[in-house]
Amino acid sequence: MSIRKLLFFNIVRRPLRTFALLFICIVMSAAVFGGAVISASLQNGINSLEQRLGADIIVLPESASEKVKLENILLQGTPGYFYMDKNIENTLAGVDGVDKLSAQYFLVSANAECCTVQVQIIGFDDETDFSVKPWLSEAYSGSLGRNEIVVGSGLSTRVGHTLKLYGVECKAVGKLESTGTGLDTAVYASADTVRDLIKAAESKGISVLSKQSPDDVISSVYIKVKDGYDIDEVAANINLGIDGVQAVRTKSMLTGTADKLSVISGSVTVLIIAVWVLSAVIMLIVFTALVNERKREFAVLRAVGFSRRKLGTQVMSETLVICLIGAVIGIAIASAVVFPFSRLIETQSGLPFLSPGILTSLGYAALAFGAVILTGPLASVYSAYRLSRVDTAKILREGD
Amino acid sequence: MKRLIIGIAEGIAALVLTIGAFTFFKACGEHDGKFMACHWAQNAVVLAGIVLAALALIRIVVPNDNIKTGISIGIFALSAAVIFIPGTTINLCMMDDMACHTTFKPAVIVVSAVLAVIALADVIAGFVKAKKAQ
Repeated sequence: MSIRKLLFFNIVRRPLRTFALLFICIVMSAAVFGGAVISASLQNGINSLEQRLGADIIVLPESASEKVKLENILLQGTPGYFYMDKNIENTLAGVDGVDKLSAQYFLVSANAECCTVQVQIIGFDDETDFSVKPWLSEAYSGSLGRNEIVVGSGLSTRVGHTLKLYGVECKAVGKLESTGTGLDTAVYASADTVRDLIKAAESKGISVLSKQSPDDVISSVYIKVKDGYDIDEVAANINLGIDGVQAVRTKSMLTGTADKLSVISGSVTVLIIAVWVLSAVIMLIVFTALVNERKREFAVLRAVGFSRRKLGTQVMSETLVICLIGAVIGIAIASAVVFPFSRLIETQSGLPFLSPGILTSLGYAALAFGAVILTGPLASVYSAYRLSRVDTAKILREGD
Repeated sequence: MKRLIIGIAEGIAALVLTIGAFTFFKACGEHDGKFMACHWAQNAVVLAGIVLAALALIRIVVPNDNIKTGISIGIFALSAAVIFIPGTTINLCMMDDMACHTTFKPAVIVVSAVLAVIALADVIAGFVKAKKAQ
């Protein structure tokens, strides 16, 4: 019988032993790969949100937090809207330290045509905008015309198709890359389009504004602070100097999320290390226990002419094959859970979750693969050494 | 014995697909008396799941190995087709944070893919067995 056949039969004819080792390898590789991908996805999500907001300070009406938090609109896609006087934009322009500023307009659609859900509509000022357009250009390079929209990646509307909002046919002229946040399910339009939609809503009897005209309101103002100015100080000056508004530093708005994220990432890392150490210890115990069980088998092999080196190789090869199969299955199982269900993880956790690209994911797969196929053979080195040194004559004589 | 275990695994996967599609990973529910687009995708998956479960049951009961292999080819083809029902063949809802996108579609894809892999393994085992018998 060749070495390869012996290896195959040793694995197949001992199903319980093989299954137990395989199970440990599957758990180890799934934990290392799945954990690494989840940590990376959470980090990607918060990075992408920070980049996309683009502003140092966001100014909102003071009553905004009573209605819907901006954080919920941005992170969880909870549709919401609030308005303040348009003149506040001019007042803010006069605040010391303000470099650039641009107003945005929020609106929530009535149930969109295909489904009974509401869509967040975000309008921006084409001339002054600096926070939306840089990433709108990823999908669409021109200026948005009247009744033209750019849709987030989380909406099924395709470029060239139309979306009916308050009875107005809006043509999708671009689609954005995924951010892993609530911004993915929003629709972006010019300020004029949003004003038209507010008027259309009112003509349908849906009251969005109490008394004001759509031309006299804005929802938020994004501010970029001049170099050399303290952002916190500028925000404090706005809060103290202008009534009815709240200035929030973008970073501090994301701090709570970033804190939650670092706790989760830390827990995942601890879990990965714990599973890895536990698996390595179990493997070591299993292989040590196998030494006694397999002494007679190896004594017979020695008697029929197998060298010590060949016996050592035999044990290592068996472990390596089981670890290879286990690692592949473990990575496949983790992939089947983490990638298809990424949106579910995002909505359930309320945290931005953006899966890493193919190359990065392959890197994590290689890491998990390496961790398993190194741990297994390393754990079996001692037992391979002891089995290759069995006293053939003594064991066969004793029959044990 | 090995092929019986594979047959039972096929049956379990088909049942998970059928029952799960209208219970623990169902698509979006009814709103204001209206069914959304994904409801029809759910119905199609349940129907395909019933056919798959029936095929898996016949596959377990039939004694002839060649017929078992033939049925498994059918299970493989149908389960591979089910992967493309949600979102590709039948549209789902508009926003990807809705249940049909977050739970129904990924669960159908994963369970159907697992079923297709099991059926493919059974087909290969069947061909190997037939070759050995010759």
